[in-house]
Amino acid sequence: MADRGTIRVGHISALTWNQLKINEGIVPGLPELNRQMPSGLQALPEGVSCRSMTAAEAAKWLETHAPGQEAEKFVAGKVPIYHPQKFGTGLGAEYEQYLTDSNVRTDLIEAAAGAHPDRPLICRLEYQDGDCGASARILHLGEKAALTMIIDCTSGREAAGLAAVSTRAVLERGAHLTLVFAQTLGRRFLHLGDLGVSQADDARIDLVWLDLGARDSFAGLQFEQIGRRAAVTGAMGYLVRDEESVDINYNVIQRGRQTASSFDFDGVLDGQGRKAFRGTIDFRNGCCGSKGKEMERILLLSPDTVNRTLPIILCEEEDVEGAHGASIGRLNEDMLFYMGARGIDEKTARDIMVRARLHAVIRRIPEQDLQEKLYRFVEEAFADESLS
Amino acid sequence: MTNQKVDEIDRSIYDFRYEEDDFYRIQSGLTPEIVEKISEEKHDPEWMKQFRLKCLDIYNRIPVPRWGAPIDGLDMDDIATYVRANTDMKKSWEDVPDDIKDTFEKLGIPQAERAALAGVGAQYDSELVYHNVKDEVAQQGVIYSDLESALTGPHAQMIRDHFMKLVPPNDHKFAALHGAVWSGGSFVYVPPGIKVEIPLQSYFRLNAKGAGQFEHTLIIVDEGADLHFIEGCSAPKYNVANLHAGCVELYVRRGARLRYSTIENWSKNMYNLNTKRALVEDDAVMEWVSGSFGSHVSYLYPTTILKGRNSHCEFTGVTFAGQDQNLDTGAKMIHLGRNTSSFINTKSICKSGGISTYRSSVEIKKSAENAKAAVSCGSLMLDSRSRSDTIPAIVTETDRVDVGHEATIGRISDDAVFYLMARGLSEEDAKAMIVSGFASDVSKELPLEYAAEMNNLIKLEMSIG
Repeated sequence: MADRGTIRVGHISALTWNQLKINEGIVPGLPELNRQMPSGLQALPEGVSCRSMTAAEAAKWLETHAPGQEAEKFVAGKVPIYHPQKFGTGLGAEYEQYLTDSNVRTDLIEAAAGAHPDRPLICRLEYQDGDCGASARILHLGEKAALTMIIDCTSGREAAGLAAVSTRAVLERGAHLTLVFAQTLGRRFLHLGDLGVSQADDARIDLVWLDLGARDSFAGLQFEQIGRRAAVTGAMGYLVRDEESVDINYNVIQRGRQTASSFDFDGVLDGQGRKAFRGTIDFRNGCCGSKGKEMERILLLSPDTVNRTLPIILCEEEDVEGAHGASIGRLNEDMLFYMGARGIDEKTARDIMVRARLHAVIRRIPEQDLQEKLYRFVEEAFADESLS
Repeated sequence: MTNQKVDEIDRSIYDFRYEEDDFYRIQSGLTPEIVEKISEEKHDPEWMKQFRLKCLDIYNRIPVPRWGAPIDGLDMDDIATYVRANTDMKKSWEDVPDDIKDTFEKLGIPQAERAALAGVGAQYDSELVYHNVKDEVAQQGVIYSDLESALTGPHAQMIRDHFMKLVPPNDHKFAALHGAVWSGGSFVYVPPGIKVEIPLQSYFRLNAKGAGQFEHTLIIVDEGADLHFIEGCSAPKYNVANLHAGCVELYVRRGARLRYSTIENWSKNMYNLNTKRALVEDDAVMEWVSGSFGSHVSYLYPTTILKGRNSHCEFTGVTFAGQDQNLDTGAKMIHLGRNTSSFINTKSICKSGGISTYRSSVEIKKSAENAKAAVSCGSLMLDSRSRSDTIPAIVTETDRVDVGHEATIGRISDDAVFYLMARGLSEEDAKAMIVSGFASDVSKELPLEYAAEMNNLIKLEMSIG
């Protein structure tokens, strides 16, 4: 695979000390793409259409349909953003440029105003060993449309390659998107999963994101809450084993009045797994009555894991409520003792509690087949491993 | 909630100033010649002169940090790095020149010494003008002196062994600057097992316009000893930039305890780029109590290295950013030893366009098995012209840890104001009381006199015009 060099992804708006190595994610040796992934869409539900566009057409479409977005050069005139991006996404401008330079085509998936399909739209991205493939889409939900979209990104267990996935969503007034993204790529894969969402008045997104496979995974999520009462909830689960790494950046920019964001992150680190998490709640001037909260729970199973956590709140509005929290450590000894007292040996107790972390996120997926598949993936992941 | 209007703080009790009559003032700027001249004026030993020049070289090579508050308004070519009153250090308050004595009397320093302190050091611009320690404390073997005397006195080797070892000059740009032009500050040594019952205090006053203050504080609390050290600082306001780039190095030996309290009230033309660091050995305890009220721009993150087993640190801080202030404050904890523990508890308040950034890091290294750390930071926004950011980082390199973090941001509760007003308080008094309560984690950790001063500062900041 030819090497396109290093790109930086998932920059935070407000930098901190460089020595902590958490201001951004570094993707070294990004290979050239060798495959445009097929759309992977199952049958389209009623009221939903899809057409393919070039990267230039996609950019022009976003310019027309998401006019509320500007490429910011500073956060509140204070903090320089060194990679301004017109339609913000979690991984940022360098990744977007990489896809553009690679002439990646974009599927424009539209749900008509008022459409309420009775079944989810499912996208299966099945990567083969050696694939360096990109897949990009724009979801456009018209006024008061409601859509559930499930993206299942997978490959064989020992497969190698690159999965570059991009999803951008424009939610019109009152639209409701339920978005599920599950990644169970092979253990030699590099995964780049990018999401950018623009929300008008009363638009809502409920996100479930599971990052379970791949050797190195970079996930970027950004939400622009431009409209009043825009809301987002997120549940994210990740599993990092052996020498794997995951790098997560999420950024909620709350501009409209009475906007709301709520995120829960649950992760398990084992082996020599490394994880970096940057989460930003950004209350902008004028977002009166807005609320933002975020919680991260990290379970450490091995003394060789490295965990980096940076939960940020930026605030320039008085009338808001923001909160974030983090809990980092091993399994609760009291709980292990409690279960031991009830005849459950320590290994079994640990297995139960580790699985419970991820199962709690998987349960939120509104599709039985994918749920079952992910339960099996978690079982197999730990079947031949000792949870120390 | 009605809009909260807060006037510029009345700092008249801090803003008085005197002309620099009969003062020695070095040429503004930062060159090898200026650094050599400072070294000459201070009669440095040769190693210190070479050290200063090496620091200047490092300073010139390190870039300005990109992550903090803007410091574009600071031009070292306009800063005089050494200003000295034409007096040597006195041990009797009566011998201090009248205008300087008057300054410290207005700030209440001699009264505090009589009432509540075991010793006092008073620095005016670049040099200490007064230093004294009570006889009974000196008789315990406690050494409290200016750093220059210690550098050439019987403790010269101890100073050389510790000076800028904890904060090396290549740590960051302003540590290097400090190393090049440092002047003044205090040296404290508390012998093993000695408990100093009442605090020592150093007070730093920067009177000169367009000048910098670079005092160095070195404290060694030996095994099983106990000390509370208080640091205060203020300056009159000028329309040009002043700079404070002090350095504090604290060594807390096995089983010892050190509390280091600061009430910082620099004027709003001050760039406060200060570095504080503590090294904590087995079973020792470090406690920071920090109130940041002044400065135009602050970078202040006291750092604690928990090297010893079972060592513990608590950081309690409050930052109040008003008009024209951009205060970037917080703390760093580095866990190296087993069974170490730390707790950071901070409050940030901002109003009238002030910017407050809470920035911290907790690093738990692989060797720090069974470490425990907790971080709690709260922010209070008093209007929507202001800005409050919270940027706390946590890095763990082992699984045998227990780390908790929580942060909240919000405004004064309408219900709380209504409750207090229903009981006869004016709206302004109700809000001031709520803010004082919000910051009470810090004030309750201070001696009574200092807690009262801190509450007074909050009341001044909250006064409604």
